Amino acid sequence: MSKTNEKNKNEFFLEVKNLLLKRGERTILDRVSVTLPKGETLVLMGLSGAGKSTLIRCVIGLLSPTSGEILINGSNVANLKGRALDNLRKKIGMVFQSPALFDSLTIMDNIAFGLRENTKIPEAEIKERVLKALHIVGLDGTENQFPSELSGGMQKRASIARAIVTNPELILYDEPTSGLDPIMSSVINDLINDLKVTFNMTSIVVTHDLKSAYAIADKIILLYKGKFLLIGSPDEFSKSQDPVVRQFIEGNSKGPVKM
Amino acid sequence: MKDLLIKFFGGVGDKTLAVFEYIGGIVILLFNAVMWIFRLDIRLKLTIQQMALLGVNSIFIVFVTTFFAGAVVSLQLAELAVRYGLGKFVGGGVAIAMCRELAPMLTAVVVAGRAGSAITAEIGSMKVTEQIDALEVMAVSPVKYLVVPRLIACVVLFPILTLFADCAGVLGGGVVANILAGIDLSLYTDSIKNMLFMEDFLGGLYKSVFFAIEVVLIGCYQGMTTKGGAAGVGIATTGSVVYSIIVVFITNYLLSSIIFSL
Repeated sequence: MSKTNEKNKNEFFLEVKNLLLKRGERTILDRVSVTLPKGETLVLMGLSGAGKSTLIRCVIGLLSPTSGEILINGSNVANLKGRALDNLRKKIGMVFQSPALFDSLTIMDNIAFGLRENTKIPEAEIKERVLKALHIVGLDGTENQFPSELSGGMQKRASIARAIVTNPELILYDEPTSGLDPIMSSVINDLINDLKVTFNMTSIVVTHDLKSAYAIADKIILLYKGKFLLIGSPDEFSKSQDPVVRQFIEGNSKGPVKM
Repeated sequence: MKDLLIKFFGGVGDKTLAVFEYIGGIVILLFNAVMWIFRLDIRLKLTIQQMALLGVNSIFIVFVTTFFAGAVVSLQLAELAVRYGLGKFVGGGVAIAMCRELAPMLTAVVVAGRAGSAITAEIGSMKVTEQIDALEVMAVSPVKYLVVPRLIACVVLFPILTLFADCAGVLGGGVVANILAGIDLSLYTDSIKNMLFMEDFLGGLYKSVFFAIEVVLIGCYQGMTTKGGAAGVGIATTGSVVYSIIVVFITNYLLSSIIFSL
């Protein structure tokens, strides 16, 4: 192996270092750190309001941390502004918790939006890529419809198509399988795995769905009270004897976590 | 007593800070929008769409309000004027009142109510459903995509609507002067020609450009800072109309005192 290859292998695609995020007196993320090599899938789990979505919003620069670093390919997102931040964002796709599709645009225009705004790809090729992305998420024939004409689950899939159509290096999913039936959830899990294998795509997935987490994760994090209570493989996660992790996995209302 | 005073002054301080934060936010928004315009990075199709949505659809309501505003000014002026033999001043009086003050201000108030609220409701809904965040993560500036087309559309359309309002008001005044006070229409138009100067007419149009900027920026800023769900959109929309009207009235006085005293 050449020195360059060895160097690349040892470098992490994403590094979060001592990330602290405070809102007023409330600490949402308490000096958390994690690394993720290229092509791996990190699953973030935790109670509702634990700060999972907040963490991925920091990763894409929608929120600025109080202190700490988020390095993507060596660039600290927290320090980037203007064009530099836009250039980084062009390499990242995001699937929002709400579908966040543009109401006034058709599904075709929604999915083609990023390509039309940020690339000079010919319109015919854009249309071809959009139709392919729609096919991947099982939405053939919906390109001329408006988001309001689709069901919630279909809108979610359209938002996944919008995120993947640009072939991003990193993709952030905020609860991609919520609101989907079990079969479509499995299709989305397979899709995340396919993108990893085919395009070496790195993913961060926020989910409450344990089945999905085990199916897609290389690494699982359990966020609890602003800290990473556990970072490990799906196997380590499922075998953990930590009482909080056990309560979370078993879904018990009784245990150390009081609601 | 001490606690009450601390609470009172603390409250005043918080409100003052909030006002300055709001003004600062609007100034930054204006600066960012102007930067995009200078870079000539303008979405022409979106701008034309906004012109149709915000301006063209406001024509009827602008016509009705300013026609009757001109009519009521004429109603008050004409009878008195005729009684004192000053009928030849009615046309000029109505035209000056309309062109200098009523047409630009009423147009701004009507469009703030119709288009300003629509801007806030649309952008506010986009904000609470994460569509603004989606624009940002796709490396598309919400200012460039949402604010600039609306700003250009209104800056172009407000003077046109004001011009239209000038004509509607003078027409309304003429109808009332003729029917109720028996003032001959040729006397009415001669009076306008003699008394109305180009400065009166242009002064109103200059003011309308300022009002356009104010209405659009307040509408967009309210939308982009919307919090909460549907209730938040409602609060932001109401705020947009109220703040726009207050700001239009204040700046109307300031601009009139500058423009018409020169």
